Amino acid sequence: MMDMPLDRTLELDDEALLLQFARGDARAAEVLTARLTPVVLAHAYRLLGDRAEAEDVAQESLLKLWRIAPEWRRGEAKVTTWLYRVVANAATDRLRKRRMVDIASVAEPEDGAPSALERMQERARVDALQAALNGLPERQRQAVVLRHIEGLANPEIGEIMDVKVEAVESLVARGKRALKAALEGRKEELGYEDD
Amino acid sequence: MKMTDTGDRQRNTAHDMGEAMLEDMFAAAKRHAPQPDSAMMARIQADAEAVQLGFPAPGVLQSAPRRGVFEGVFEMLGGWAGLGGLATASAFGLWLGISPVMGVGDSFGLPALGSSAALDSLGDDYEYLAALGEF
Repeated sequence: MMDMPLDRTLELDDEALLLQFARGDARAAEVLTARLTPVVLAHAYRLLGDRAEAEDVAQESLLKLWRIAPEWRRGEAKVTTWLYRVVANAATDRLRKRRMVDIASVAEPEDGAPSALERMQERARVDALQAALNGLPERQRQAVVLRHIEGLANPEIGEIMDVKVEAVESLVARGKRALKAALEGRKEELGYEDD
Repeated sequence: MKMTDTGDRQRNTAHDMGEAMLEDMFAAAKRHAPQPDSAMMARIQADAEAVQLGFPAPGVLQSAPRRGVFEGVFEMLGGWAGLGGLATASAFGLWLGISPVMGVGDSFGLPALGSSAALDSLGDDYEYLAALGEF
């Protein structure tokens, strides 16, 4: 078997890959799928708190990206910024429909199958946080997730949410206050002890 | 005041505790991001390939670009050839606008300029011509 040539595609940034994809490069499609699917799925899950719906939203959002690729204008926005925005819009639509169907059907995060105690506690914390996030107003949840879990800077969050940086700061602060209040009563159960 | 200090300290401790707990939970959430399984990756890859098949091959002309209003009017006038004709016609019209005065001047023996100077020079003849309805 011949030596594999150095795969330069992996070194390209998302935008360059998307432009390659639009020119019909099959390898660019593979790399983008592998790179972006986990990002989009995780974000959709954090906004929706439901795995199946998150998968649907992730697939829909990426399909939109594939379709828009030939019209993508270089330098206008980061691909991930654009995707976070599309995911948030799709999640909002789903949450609205869900509310109309049955307000009590908001999904609790599903349990994993932990074996060790530490893993169980870690899982319990992740699930507790997700449940508390699910209880936040949508915009606060989106801002907190983007800031503290996706790790984005406020100006980029402002771009995604179409608001000023001050509004982002306010949403994050209110969201965190509400999260603390929601989790306060579960401190001991989650293994956080007051000193 | 002592009471206030104690209250502030308790509030700060609770705040720090809440902050530390949240930070820890955010970190745990980052570590445990849901991962796509192979079936999902395959679905998304298939979408990408299907969409890509619909793109025109490189070098192939894409569908006609949308035309602006100017392009529509330009085409209505017959493109560059039509525009050339229009320019010629306009120039001829301009020439016609000037030349009749010279022609009239010749036929009535008037000065070449169709201006007030020419009317002045008519003198009594002007009244005669006006009576004939010529002016």
